[in-house]
Amino acid sequence: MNDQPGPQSSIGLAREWIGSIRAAPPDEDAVAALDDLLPEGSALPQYVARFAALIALSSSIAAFGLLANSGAVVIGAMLVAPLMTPIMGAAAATVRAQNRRLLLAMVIIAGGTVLAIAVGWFVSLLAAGRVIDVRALPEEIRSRTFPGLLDLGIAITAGAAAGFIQPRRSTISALPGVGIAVALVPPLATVGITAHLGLAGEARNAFLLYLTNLAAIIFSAGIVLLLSGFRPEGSPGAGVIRVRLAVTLAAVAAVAVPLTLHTQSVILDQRLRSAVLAAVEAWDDDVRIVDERSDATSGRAEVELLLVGRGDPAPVYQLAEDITARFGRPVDLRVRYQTDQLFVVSTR
Amino acid sequence: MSARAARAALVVFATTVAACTSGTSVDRGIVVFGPYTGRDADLFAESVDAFEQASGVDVVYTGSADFVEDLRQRSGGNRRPDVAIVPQPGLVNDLIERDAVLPLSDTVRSVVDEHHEPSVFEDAAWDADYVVPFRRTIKSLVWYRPDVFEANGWAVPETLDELWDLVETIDEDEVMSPWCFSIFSGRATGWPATDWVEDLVLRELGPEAYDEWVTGIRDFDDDEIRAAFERFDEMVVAGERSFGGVRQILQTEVAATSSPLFGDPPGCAMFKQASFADNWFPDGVEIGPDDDVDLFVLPGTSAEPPPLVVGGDAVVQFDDRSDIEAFMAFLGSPEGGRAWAREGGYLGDLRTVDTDSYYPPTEERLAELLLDDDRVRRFDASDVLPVNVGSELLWQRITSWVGGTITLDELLTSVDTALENERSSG
Repeated sequence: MNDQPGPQSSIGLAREWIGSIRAAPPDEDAVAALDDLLPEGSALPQYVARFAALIALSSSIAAFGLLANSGAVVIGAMLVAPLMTPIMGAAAATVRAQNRRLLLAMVIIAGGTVLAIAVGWFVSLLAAGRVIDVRALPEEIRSRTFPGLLDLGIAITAGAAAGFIQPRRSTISALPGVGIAVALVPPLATVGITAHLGLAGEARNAFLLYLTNLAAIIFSAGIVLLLSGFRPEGSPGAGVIRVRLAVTLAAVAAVAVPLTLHTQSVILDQRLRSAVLAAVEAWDDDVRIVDERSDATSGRAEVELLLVGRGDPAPVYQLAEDITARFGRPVDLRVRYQTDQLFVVSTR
Repeated sequence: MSARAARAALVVFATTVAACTSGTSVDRGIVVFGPYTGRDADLFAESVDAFEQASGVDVVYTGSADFVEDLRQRSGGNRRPDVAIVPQPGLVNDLIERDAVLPLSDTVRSVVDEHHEPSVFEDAAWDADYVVPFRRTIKSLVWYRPDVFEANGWAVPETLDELWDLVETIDEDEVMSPWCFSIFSGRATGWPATDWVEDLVLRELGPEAYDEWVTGIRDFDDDEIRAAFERFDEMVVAGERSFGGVRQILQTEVAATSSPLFGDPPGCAMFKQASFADNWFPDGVEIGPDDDVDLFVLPGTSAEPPPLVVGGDAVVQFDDRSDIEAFMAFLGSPEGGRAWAREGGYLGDLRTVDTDSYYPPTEERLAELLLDDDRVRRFDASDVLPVNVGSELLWQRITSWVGGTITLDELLTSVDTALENERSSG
C-alpha cells in the first residue's frame, strides 16, 4: 500500500480507515475457504448446472410450501437453496477487489433470481387456483409482501454471521442456520406466485424483501470479512489499488443505496403505524383493530382500518385529524366499523 | 374571461389578500371542513394553493363522507371549523337559524355579486348574506359508452318513453343490465336513490309540482309522488334492471358503481350520476362523443330540452377574522375554483368567466347547460328539505325500501310524519 499520506479524497480516507482497523492477515485455510466459493475454469459449467438444479428444486418446494401455507416446508426449501454461496462469493470478491469474480458472482445471482421467480410463477400456474385478492393469500405468502424493519435487522445480522462463519471451516456447520434466518428463495417464489396472480404491488414488495436481504448480506458480510483481515490481494501499484478500492466502494454504495431507501420507507411506515395505533386508542380505547393497512410511500398517508367496537363510533374525522397531527402528513382514511355483538343460544 | 373582468378579478383578489396579510395573524391557519374526499380533496387543496401562496396563510382542510353528522357535531364543540363547505341548503339554514355561522362582510358580498348569477341563490334558497357559492353539480346526467351503444344499434333516447323502451330492450337482450346503480355510502347511504326520484318527479310532474313537494304543499304520500317512486323502482331496481340486482345496489360503494360500465364485456349500459362522477372513472378514461364515455341529460316527457336537478356547495364562515374574509372572497372569485376547473370535475355559476378558456371541453358543455336561463332548473329536493329528514331519515328509509325491508307506504308516511314534526317545531 502507498505510504504517502492519503490524499483528501474519499478513496484516500477509506484507505486510511481500512489501514487503521487492520486485523491479523487471514490464514491460508480461511483464504482457501473463500476461494472455494466460486469455482473457476473447467469446474464452472458443472457448478452452474448443479446451482440451477438446486434453485429450481428449492423454489418449487418453497412455492408449494407457500401455497400450502406450511412454514416447515418453506424452511426445508431454504436448506436446499444454493443462493448463499454466490452471495458470499460476491461479498468476498468485493472486499478483496476481485473484480472478475465479483462479476461472475453477480451473473450467477442474477440467473438464480430469474430462475427462482420463473419456477414460482410456473408452480402458481399449476397449483394456485384463482386467488384475486391479497386477503385470500396464505399467511406465509402475505408475510413476505410486507418487508419491515425487522427483516432488515435479520438480514444484516445473518449476513454478519455468514461473514464470520465462511472463512472458519470449523464453524461451517452453522451456515445453514444463516440460510434459514435470512430467506432468499421464498421471497423469489412469492414474486413468481404473486406476479402470476396479477398482484403487482405484492410482487414488487416481495422482490424488495429479496433485494433488501441480498444487499444487507453482501454489505454486512463484507464488513465482517474486512474486520477479519481480508484485503485487496497482491501488491499492485497505487493506481490499480485505487481502481480496485473504487470498485469496492462503488459496490458497497450500490448495496447501501437501496438499503437506505428501503430503510427510510420502512421507518416511515412504522412511524405511520405507530401514529395510527396511538390515534385509534386515543379515539376510542374500547375499540379493537381487526385489520390495519397503512402506506406512507406517496406524499400522504393512506390508511385502511377494520374496527370492532361497542355502540356507535365517535366521529371518524377526529381520528383522521389525530393521525395527521401525529404523523405530520395529510391522510386518506377509510374505516369500516362493526358493532361487536354476542349471541348465545342453547338447545336441548 | 374578458380582459376587463380578468383585471377586476385580479384587483379584488389582490385587495383581499392585502386585507388578509395586514389582519390578525393566526398560527393554526384557516380550518376548513367539507364533503370532498380523495381526489376531490386533492383538487380542492390544489385550488386553494394560490390563496396560500399569495397570502402566506395556511388552509387546513378535512373532508368527510359523513359530512352532515360530523359538521353538526363539530359546529357546536371545540373543534368548530373556521369555514365549512355545505352541499345541503337545509343544513345551511339550520346553521343560520342556530346563529352558528356569521354573515359575510360587504367586501365578500360584492365579490360574490360581481361574479355569480343571482339565480344561484334562488335555486338553492340560500341566504345571500351568509353564503359564498362554490362548486355546482348537475345531477340529471346519464353516462354511457358510445362504442357500446353503436355496437348494439342503440340511440341516445330523446324522451322518457324512448328511455323506457331502451331499458326494456336492454333488459330483454340479457347481455348486460340497463343500469349501473348503487347506494352504499356509509351513513349517507341512499342518496343516489333520492336523486333518481327527484329527476322523475321534476320530469313527469313538472317544476310547479316539484316546488309544492319540496315546500310541503304536496305530501310524499301524494298519488303522483308515489307514482314517481314506483316508476323509479320499476325502471331501475326491479329484477336485474341494475347490475347485480338489489344485493349490489345495497353493497357497492357509490364511488365504485360505474366499474361494470367499463368492463369487457360491459356489465351495464348506462350510469345515471352527477357531473362529479368522472372523478370516479378509471384512470385514463376520456370523455366525449368519440371517446371512451359520453353523457346525455336524462330526457324529459317531450323532446324539449329536459329540466335539470342541480346541487351546489355553499361556503359559510364560523368566524370573521380578516384572513377568513380574504379566503371567502377568494372562493367567491373565479380564482377560487380555477385550478380544480382546469383538472375537470368543477362547475360554477360564474358569469364573468369565458367558459371556453376556464373549463375543459366536458365541463364547458355542462357549464353552458347550467348557465342556460331557458332551461328549467331545480335544486336537489332532499338537500333542501330540513336536514334531519332530507339528509338522514329519507336516505335511511329509501334504503330500507330498496332493500325490501319496509313497504313504500311505510317509507312515504314516515317521511311525511317527520316533515310535519320538523315544520311544526320550526
